[in-house]
Amino acid sequence: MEATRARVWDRTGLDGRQALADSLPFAALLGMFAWCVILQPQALSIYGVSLLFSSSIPLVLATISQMFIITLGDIDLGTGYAVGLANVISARYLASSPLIAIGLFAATILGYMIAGALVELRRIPSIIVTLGTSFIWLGAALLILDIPGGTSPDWLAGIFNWAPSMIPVPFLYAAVIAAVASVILFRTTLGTVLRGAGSNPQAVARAGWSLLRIRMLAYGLAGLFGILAGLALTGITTSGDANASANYTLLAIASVILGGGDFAGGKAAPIGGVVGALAISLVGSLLALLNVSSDFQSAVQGIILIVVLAGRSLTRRFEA
Amino acid sequence: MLHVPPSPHPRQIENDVTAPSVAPRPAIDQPYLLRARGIGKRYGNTQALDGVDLAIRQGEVLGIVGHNGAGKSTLMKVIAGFTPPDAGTIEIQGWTGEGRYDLARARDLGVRIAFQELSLCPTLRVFENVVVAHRALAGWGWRQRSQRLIRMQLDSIFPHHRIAPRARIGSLSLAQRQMLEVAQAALTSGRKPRLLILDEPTSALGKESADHLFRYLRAAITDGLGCLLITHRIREILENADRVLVLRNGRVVADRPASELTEEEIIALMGTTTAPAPRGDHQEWAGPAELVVEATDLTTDRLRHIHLQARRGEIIGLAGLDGQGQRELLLEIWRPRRRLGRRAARVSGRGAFVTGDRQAAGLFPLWPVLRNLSISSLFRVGAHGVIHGGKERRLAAQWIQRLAIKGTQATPVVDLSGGTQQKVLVARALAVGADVVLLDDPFRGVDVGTKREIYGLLRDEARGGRCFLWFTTENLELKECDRVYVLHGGAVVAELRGEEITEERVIAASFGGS
Repeated sequence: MEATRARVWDRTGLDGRQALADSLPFAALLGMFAWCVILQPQALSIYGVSLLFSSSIPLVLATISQMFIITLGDIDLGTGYAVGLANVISARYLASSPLIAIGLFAATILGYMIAGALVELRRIPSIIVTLGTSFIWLGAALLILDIPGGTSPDWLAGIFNWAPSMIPVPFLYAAVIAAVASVILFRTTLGTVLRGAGSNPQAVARAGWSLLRIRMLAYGLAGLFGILAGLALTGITTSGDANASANYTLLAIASVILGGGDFAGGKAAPIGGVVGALAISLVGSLLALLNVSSDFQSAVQGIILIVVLAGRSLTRRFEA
Repeated sequence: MLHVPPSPHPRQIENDVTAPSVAPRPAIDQPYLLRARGIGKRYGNTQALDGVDLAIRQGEVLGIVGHNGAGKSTLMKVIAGFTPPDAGTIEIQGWTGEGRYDLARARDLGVRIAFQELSLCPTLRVFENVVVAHRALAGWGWRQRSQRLIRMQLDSIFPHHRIAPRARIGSLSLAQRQMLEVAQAALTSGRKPRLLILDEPTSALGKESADHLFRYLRAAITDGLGCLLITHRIREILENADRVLVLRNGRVVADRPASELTEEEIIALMGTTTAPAPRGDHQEWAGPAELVVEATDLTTDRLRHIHLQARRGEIIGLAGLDGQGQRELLLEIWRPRRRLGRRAARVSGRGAFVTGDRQAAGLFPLWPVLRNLSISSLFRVGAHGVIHGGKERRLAAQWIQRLAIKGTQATPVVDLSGGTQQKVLVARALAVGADVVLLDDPFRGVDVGTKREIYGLLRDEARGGRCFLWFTTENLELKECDRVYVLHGGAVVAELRGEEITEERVIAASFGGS
């Protein structure tokens, strides 16, 4: 019986029950968006959609950053502050002295890779290492820009000001990000080995791969996407603020899980994660449309997250 | 109807209709593939291997037998390069001897191992796992290459595998995963495999798949492939190996051609002293034949109209091909679920469950034997929510002695061998004092000596009034049962009693007939 099921469902790699679970982030996005439209019918236009999702891209990128680490079975508590660090670096240096900015970005990525090496070599749980790095990122960011300020180079702001009338640009960017992440995670050997290492690290090590290199590379990629998220934030807000993206950490984790990721590791769902990030980024806009006082925003965000993640754990029963 | 060849000369399988005409094996003066001399390995206080010599030639199948804890797995790990030996040397064809003999070198020299503890990544798809296992396949076009190669390899070893290369490994059955494990090890990527180490390759396979595997092996060794075969099924060794290496307590006690040995001799060499008690001998439970388990017209999404009765003192077997609902039936009896309009199974008295999947559902790896054993019986060794340490230790000591568990109460359970771990799980269930004990194929991969000890124990317990409901894929185990229900497609297709329980009848019934 099990063999038959495998044959029917997996001949093309599609799995009926899995598809149901995969649709959760889309359902969440659609649900949130529909609610926004009900409250503000003008949202149902290219301009409206672009506005609603205009500040989603940094969260989308942060989600991918977190995804590389969660796929390994680890967790990154420093995503938010890393995004903040990249934000202030680019706000302060990118326009005036790009070489310094690039140097600092490289140092950040190196820092991420060292964190990965620490987790692997010393067997320190990632939750502890990244808790430490989160303070390093925050501290460095405050050293660079202790009060909000700075500016965005024109080209960066231009990317996020682009608003052609025919396509909602945030969706376009999100689609490109999802595609790139999918290629890395599913089309390359590295991505496959990464997912394998999250699922059964001994098997991967016995096959001759270096878990140290895999971890460092995954963390380096996470750092890279965190920097891209910071750049996006600079382009959108045209300023730098070390504390503005603090809540990105938990939102990114929630997006990864909503999208289909698993804390245990081995599962990567880039498309689901991106869609999940878009859905979660709508919460702020939704609350504004509902005239909920911003005092309650965090609480409501939390409630919506619980509901959405509860939905994920219900659909987990259907997954292979 | 499958013919089971009789021992003691299984090479003369003229009547075996399943064996194709086989090319004669190469003469036994082929060059040596690998020679290990004086291998020693120590883990903490245990000398796992002591002065072990092993030599295998090209085109030879060397069977390795021994009790759990005799050192087979450790020896295989040393040969595969996973762990360096504390003493001894390894010579292998194609190696000058320079540098360390480690995992990378072993792989380069063509040593491949298919594990008992499966080394697959459950979240990956089949072809993805193959590229993880075989680095040489990486590079442009790896997806097509990997899918094609694993499909070919699976087809060549297991003709009816029904494993799609794009399937998720988590969705494959245990048998399919084992097939994949073996096929992955045998796959040629870059370096052709020259020594294939198979550690319990058939423990989860059905008879048909096991036959296919050995047919593949017989063909592959004509090419010069050497094979180290570890299995608890002595008959498999006698039928398929050229030579047999018997390990006992970390030492080699015999290294002889398979044709010179019989099943009884091997078992004697392995060191067990319990002879199988003939069925007629054991006394029955003398008390009232009270019904302890009753299922009437039990139907669920996997089961169809099951009628089952089990009484005090009975050992009831559940048989049939794997995946025909036996496990679901056990779980349904263990946790009867009320369904609208349908009757649930009825159990009177306390129940206990012995799992066959000790890694995932049985053992607590961080705990010692004591805690693993007492966990289900905490209510018996405490009062008012507080555990009485002395009572707990006495309970554990009693059962450790009863089951002859090698090790102390304080031994971390992960340090024990597989068979001993299984004994701890059986002890856990028995210590509860349950009226019904459900066994979910728990003796797969356990050595013969341990199994016989446990069978004797089960009979004793049954005589004392316990009822056992035992799902097993090892047909010979069914002889220990008073009655056997054979399942097919979720329904009972045959009920055999006493003398009717023979391997032939069970196999015939397993395919749907009766």
